[in-house]
Amino acid sequence: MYRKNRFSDSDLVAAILKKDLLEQAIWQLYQDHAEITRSFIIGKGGTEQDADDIFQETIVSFIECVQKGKFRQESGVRTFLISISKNIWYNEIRRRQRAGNREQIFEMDRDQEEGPVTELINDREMKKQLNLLLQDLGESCKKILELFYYENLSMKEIVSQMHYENEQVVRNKKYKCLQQLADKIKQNPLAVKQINELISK
Amino acid sequence: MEPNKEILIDYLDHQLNLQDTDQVEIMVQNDKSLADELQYLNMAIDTVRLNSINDKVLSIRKSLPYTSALTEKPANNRIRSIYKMSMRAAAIFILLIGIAVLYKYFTVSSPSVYEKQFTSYELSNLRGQESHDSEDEAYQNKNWNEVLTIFQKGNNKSNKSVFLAAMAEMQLSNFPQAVSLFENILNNTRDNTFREESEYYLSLAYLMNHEINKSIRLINKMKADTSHTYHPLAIKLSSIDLKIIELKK
Repeated sequence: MYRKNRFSDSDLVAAILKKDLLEQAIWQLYQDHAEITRSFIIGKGGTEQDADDIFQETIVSFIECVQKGKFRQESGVRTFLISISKNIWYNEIRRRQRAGNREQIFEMDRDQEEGPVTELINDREMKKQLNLLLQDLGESCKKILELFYYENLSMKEIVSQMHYENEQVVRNKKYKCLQQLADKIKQNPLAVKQINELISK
Repeated sequence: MEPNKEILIDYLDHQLNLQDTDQVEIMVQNDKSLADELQYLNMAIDTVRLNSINDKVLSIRKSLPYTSALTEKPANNRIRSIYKMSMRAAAIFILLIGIAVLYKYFTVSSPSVYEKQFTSYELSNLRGQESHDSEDEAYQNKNWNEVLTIFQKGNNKSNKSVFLAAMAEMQLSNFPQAVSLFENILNNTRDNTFREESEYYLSLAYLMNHEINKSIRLINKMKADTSHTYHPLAIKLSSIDLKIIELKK
């Protein structure tokens, strides 16, 4: 699978922006960069499971960065991914410490960099909590929002895919679901804090 | 749903015309609660998108047994290479064993074992006496035919005389005759001399007379009896060699 036509760094970024090539891009990210980041996590006291989870989060954050135009290719993809992984892992260690885990901390060579990476990683805990709120919405709500906001399907396409009566039903359902999610987010202290910070800037 | 919220969602979905878009932006600038609402809706949309990306990455992570394969790959290679080396070493070892077995099989025979084990019986060495007997003299002079002539003509059929005659037959490669003479000694219940010597040489005579089972029985008896005079020589006879001879029979 995808063994031919490997992307260069800039082609990889372009592929992430084109949704139909995203899977191939993710596959290549795993093939080319997982080993080194996994070695780093394991070398810093993480388990194999930690390494797998952190690399998954790293890829999600990288894609988010690219799609939001925050990866300007000033460094190579590998350097950027390692930087994300380090930050996620150090945050995770701190989180576990706060949770009372007596795990050894490896903060010696912690990257102190600021910028898009730290910005993305800092709200990691909040994103996890918001993701749980999305799961609480129920499968049909989640699906309809995904099809519209991620797959970019039209109302007509969603009607045929989800077997709703008509586009208006889908539209109403989508409004309702998004509003429900927004209302749930309003109850989340981390989200409220971030919104207040954004508004006050 | 409140009309304002619906407009905000349409604004985020880029469903409004330019005029309505401008109007919403002005409303948001002037109304903090509306600005908050817009941010929460935006955050909700981000959450949906992020969750979709996460699902996609997770599905690829699961479809590639990649993560575990990554750490296992070098180990697998190492194990595979150790395994290959072990297999090669084992194959070479088996080949060498095979060659050794074949070599042994084709080189081991009754005559080869006999030649290795047979040593002339030195009459003077064992008895430590000077002989005045004509048969003894002929034997010491290695005149085997003379030994046999004297034995046949003479009336002395002592174990010693029979033994010397048997040894002369062995030296002349007349193994059936030698077997017969050695058996006579062993069957002679009145005289116990030369019994152990006879047992040893009889076992060798059996070997050359194609009576392998009898030979092996006698050899095993001597091997088991540590006080037997010929025990040190008997234990030098390899059981494998005897088995090969038995197989070739």
